[in-house]
Amino acid sequence: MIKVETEVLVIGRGMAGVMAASTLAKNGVDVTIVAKSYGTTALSSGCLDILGYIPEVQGVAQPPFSGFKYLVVSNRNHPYLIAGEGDPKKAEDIIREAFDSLPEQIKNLHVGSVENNSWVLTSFGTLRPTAFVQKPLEPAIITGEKESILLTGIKGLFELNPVFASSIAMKDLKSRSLGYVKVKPAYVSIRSLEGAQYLAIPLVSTVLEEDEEFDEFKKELVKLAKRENPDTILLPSIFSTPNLVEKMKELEDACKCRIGEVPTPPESASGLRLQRALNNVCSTLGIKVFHATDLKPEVENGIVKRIVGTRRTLLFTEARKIVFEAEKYVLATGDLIGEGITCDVDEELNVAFRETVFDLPLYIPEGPIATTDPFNPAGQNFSKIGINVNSEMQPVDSAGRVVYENLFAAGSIIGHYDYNAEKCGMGVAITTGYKAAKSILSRR
Amino acid sequence: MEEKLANINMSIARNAEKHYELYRKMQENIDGCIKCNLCLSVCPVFKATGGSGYAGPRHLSAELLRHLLEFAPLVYDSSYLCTVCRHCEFVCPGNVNTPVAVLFLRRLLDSLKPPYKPAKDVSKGLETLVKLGNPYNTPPELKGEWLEEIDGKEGGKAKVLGWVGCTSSIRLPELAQGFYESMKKILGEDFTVLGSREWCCGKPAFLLGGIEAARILAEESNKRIAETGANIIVTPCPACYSAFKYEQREIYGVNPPSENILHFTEYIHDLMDKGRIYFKENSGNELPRKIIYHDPCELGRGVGIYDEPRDILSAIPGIEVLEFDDVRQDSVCCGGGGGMWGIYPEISMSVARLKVKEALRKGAEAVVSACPACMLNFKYTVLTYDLPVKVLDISQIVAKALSEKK
Repeated sequence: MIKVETEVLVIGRGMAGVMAASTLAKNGVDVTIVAKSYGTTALSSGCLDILGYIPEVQGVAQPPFSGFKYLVVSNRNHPYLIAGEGDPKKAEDIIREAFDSLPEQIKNLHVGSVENNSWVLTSFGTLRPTAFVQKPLEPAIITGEKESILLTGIKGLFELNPVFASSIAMKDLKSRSLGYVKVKPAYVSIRSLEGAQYLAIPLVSTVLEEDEEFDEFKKELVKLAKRENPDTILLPSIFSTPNLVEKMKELEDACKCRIGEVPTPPESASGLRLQRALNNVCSTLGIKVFHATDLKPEVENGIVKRIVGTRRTLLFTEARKIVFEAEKYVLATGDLIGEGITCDVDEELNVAFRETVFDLPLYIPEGPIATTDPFNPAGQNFSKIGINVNSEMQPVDSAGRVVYENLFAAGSIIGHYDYNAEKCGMGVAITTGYKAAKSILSRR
Repeated sequence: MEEKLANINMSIARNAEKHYELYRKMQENIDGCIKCNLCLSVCPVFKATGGSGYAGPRHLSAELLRHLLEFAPLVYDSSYLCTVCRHCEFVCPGNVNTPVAVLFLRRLLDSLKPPYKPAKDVSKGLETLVKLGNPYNTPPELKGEWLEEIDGKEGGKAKVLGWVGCTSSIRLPELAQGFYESMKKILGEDFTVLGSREWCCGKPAFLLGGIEAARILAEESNKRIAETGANIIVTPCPACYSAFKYEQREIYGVNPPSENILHFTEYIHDLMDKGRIYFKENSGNELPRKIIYHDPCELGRGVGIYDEPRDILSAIPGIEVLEFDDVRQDSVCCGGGGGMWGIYPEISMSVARLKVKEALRKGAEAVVSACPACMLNFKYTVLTYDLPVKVLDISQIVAKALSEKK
């Protein structure tokens, strides 16, 4: 049995967990992270959204904070408003403060501003609003200036179908009276991968690490650029290592046009880059990360005393235990995808949701938990499931009483918002992670 | 062809029945797969093989076990392409334990009858492993050869036993010697090694799917350890370490030889903490100035030792320790683990090449690891591709840097 003693234990290593941990560590707090594995952050597009849409009124939030006047009316329990103690102005301030104190590694990865939403062309051909994009994705921002874009797929890679995506994009652009921005489809191939049985982004990115392969790829792109003479070439998100991102400049010089990536479904290079940067934040700040599953708390008098977990073993053998003892705990385990919340279905198809570590009381919206339309602009009820917190980010029960005095929460484990429909996932993670850390600091 | 497939299916089904309990647990576990492909993005072998010949963790384990009977005969060879680095398991949002599935498949396949055996004859390898006590097909008496060069002595009673491991004894004499010299400098007469009497801990057999073979080997090893009367066992090999410390009890059902089993880095770190050893202020030109530390999977993700080697290396004056892009639990496997170096060395080396190239980009003069399997793979990679970097084990560095007095 291993015993780990620390001042604050953060559960989860995604955006919210690392934001809380790094804010604490920078203020001299001894922090340890325990996580099951990667979660939604690694699967995301790596864009840092603040607020893009207000599903309740089907409106666009441009700039992001302009949406707050609707939020006050439609969803008073939104984590942003909770963090701002119900006052939208205070919420804005805390969001600005949180984004200001993002670790350098994350700031350096992105361009953008909290005051503005950019429209980014995605691999589906849709335009989506976001506050910060990663630098390699900057060329995918539709600024409204006249330009011709070559949406370029890689032969055999399903994540970007340029023919389909560009037809959607042209329709979308026209409906926004941006018909003068031209999006054309194109394909390039990677020679050594032509015989591959199954093409995936990690594979493409590894092949491009080889100098000769990269030169071949460059030649193909140059040929394409000469033929089509575009202002911008957009590729799927494939440049997953820092070395490859550096080499994108080389491509731009050779093609004499801008080269960028579009946000791509998992496992996109941009999501991995964000997770890698978070890992990097932990190792530079000396935050230790442990891996354990089946975390179970031990509670005395309304205070979390310790958390006992199981270290992974090969084969399902007798478990190796690991015990964490901390003064305070931050729960950043994510929602259904990150398995901070699980969903059990019994034989009669009754669905029961459960918070996995502490079995905290959950907020579950009324009505059906999902609609059949996966792209329903009004969002999905299951996304809004989560715990209730007070303005100090402490989990509370339905009557508003604090559940455990030394427990805080951050990220998508908190309910009352739909990160997908509202485009606010990373913003909530960063803000609540920051706020949880602040609450802990104020109690020292 | 169809008849042949049917025969294999029957055979697999019978074996699956034998391991029914495990099979059921695994199917439950595999239901967590959300097909996100994160496992593919970290799998070293999937990247190195270019997507052909190896389907990657998701397809090999998760998808395969969902449809075991339909697909198993088609991919059984490639189940030996996993290095059991467990990176996929550590990133899986669905909590799927893919390496377990791979080991399970290997266990199933191990008991197939000819002509349905995998192309690489693994069970023959297991036989020689049990007979000779090492996976390198080397006569046991040659296992102590590395001692001759440095006038070392094997056998005899002592408080601390150095368990060198097969890879170091047979393929990496420089590592074995570095380990022996550092331990002798610290302990003198209190330290001994088994040399040519050293047997296999059982780990390679387990990784190749032969648990019964692993049990036989472990029992023999433990008998030989008992002869020395040592109650502390120190080893430079993380695979032996985790076999003695955990797997013998947990998986093979064997009582470990001692309760005090330490990895070399743990032992040195402990002495450093107690202020009982010192490093030379200046080791001259004997040691490289810029080194990069590679986390062995078996030591890092396997047993959770990340800090000890780093603390030791950075405590040695005159050495700058660089880091790879992905470190600790996110460290990328060198490609040499899980029995793969023995079966597909060319793939192991093409994985390691990517790591060495990264090390060179960062300006490292030497790649340092704390595992013989990593070192062996790196060493041959550097030779094969003619790369200008040294490959060292942490024990070699400690041996050079240790000072007799303060």
